[in-house]
Amino acid sequence: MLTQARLAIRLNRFALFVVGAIVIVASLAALIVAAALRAAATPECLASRWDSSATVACQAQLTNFDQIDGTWAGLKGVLGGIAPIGGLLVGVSLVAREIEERTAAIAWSLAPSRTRWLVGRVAPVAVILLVLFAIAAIAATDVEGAANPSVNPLLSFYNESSRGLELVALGFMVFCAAVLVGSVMGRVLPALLVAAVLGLALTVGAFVAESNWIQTQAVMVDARDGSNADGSLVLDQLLRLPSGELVPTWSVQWDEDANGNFIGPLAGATLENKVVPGSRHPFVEAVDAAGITAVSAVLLVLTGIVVRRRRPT
Amino acid sequence: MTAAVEAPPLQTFAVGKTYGRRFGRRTEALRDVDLAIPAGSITALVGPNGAGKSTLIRGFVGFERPTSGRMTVMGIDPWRDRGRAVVHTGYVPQNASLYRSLTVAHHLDMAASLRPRFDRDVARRRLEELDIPLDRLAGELSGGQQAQVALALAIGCRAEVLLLDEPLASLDPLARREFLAVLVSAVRAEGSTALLSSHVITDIEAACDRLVVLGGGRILLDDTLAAAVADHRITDPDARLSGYLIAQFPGRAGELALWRAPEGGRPAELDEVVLGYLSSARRPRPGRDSGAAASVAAPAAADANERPL
Repeated sequence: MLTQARLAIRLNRFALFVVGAIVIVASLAALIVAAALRAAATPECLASRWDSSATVACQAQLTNFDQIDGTWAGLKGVLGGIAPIGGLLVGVSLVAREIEERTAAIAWSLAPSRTRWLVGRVAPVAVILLVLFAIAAIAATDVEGAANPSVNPLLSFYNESSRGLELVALGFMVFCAAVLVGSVMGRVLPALLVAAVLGLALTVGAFVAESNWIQTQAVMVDARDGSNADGSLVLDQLLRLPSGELVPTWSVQWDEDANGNFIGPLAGATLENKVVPGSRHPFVEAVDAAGITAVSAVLLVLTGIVVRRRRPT
Repeated sequence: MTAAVEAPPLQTFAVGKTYGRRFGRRTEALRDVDLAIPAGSITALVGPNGAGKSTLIRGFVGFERPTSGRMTVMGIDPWRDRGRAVVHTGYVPQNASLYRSLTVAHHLDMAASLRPRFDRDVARRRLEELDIPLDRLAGELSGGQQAQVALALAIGCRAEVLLLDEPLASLDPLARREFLAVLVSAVRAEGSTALLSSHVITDIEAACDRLVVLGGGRILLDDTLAAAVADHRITDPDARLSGYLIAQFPGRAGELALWRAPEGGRPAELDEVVLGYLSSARRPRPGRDSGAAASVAAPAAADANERPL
């Protein structure tokens, strides 16, 4: 198995090197930016950002902080995109190139089990990619924490899909989809296009599924207490009528007094936010990652079936 | 007491293979092919492009599923029980198809990691005898060397059956002879059975002891080489220079079809092949050679295999 792993890595070393180099460079840049953000403004200064207590010196710190954050905002995008794009590029050629260049004919004529051959090809590459994706995910989480120092990024929903465990799982899912499409099509370039579309569709599907499931994790809190400032995820804002019934804000007309209290027929009603508290983030993230990994596993099983049945050219 | 009769290592039973059935463009690659390759033989499988040679060999490796009938390798169906059948075969695909970015030694490592009984030493010795450096990338080897590496991988499997799909196609005459010499010595040393498809009949004549001619997916001739040479004769010695149709060869196994190049054109590889073999069969024989040009069928009367090149 070690020999197969060594050869699989050797056969895909260029793609792995490119993805690895981008991940390392982007991650190092992220760590440097995070350090620069932390040095740019003190926590006390950042805490005074939204009130009028900020001193002139603090204002200068905040300006510097915002400048760094704005300049390097694209870095988060790079870190968030590298896992799915890297998974796509590496995954699509893994089997497709063997079929395209007819080397699969030799390998499959030697291997009594094509499934074992596939595992030998996919597993080592997948492990390397997962490590790279994890590095990118950690770096993205760190820079997120530096950009929002008042919130623990591990207990926050800010940019959750472009960092942390979910990013790793998404990258792996796109990788698996690319391997499957490559196995079916047996040609790298067409498979790259189809896999990109499939990967996008699966990613959108994962977001839609998550947005439906996450409703079950939400709690209702008074709008004055529940905001996303603490890293919570605000799903909706509803009006609780004096009768206790919750109605969408757009379904009624209301008037407020100077203090923001409802008057008229809605007197006594309150605005409530449907939020998933930041403290639930680790659980939500784990469930999301598990769901995406399950889809990835299905894709790999399908790949195994395709490889077992298809012609090598 | 009756000696137990062993089944031939390679057998087909009314095998048919049709491509494109789902898309309305049916191509019959094999039609009711019944074949039994005896143990210990080196059989040449020849025929024009599209005759079904590769389909047949790939079927034995488990790469193609017969549409009808069945085929066996050492009594095992290679499609239904591929894992068990594959370990009895060593396969040399068309155009060698090595990993260009791996060294020869890596190929041996790969084979050893994939095939449980792979004999690395046997393969390495073969390559060393041919002065093929193990540390050279496969992409840097000549076509002949790549074919030898592919053959060494197949021989290293120490399988009962060697299947070679047009391994000589891209080799020069010297490389072809060298390749066949290695093949013959390996087959004789191991007592294995080889089935080799080729266009180049003149070269394989010295290496093979059986000849199977496929045309239009059917077996046109299946005999020992000695019997085939004795029982068939060329009917049109100038065929390669004339039109495109078929010549008929009466013989013990029926009629052997012959294709020709368009008039004035360079003979296609196929013509070289079929004519090459038949020319070599056309040894001066008392009382026969003068009447060699016997029956040349008109295109309209030719059998289903007829087609212009």
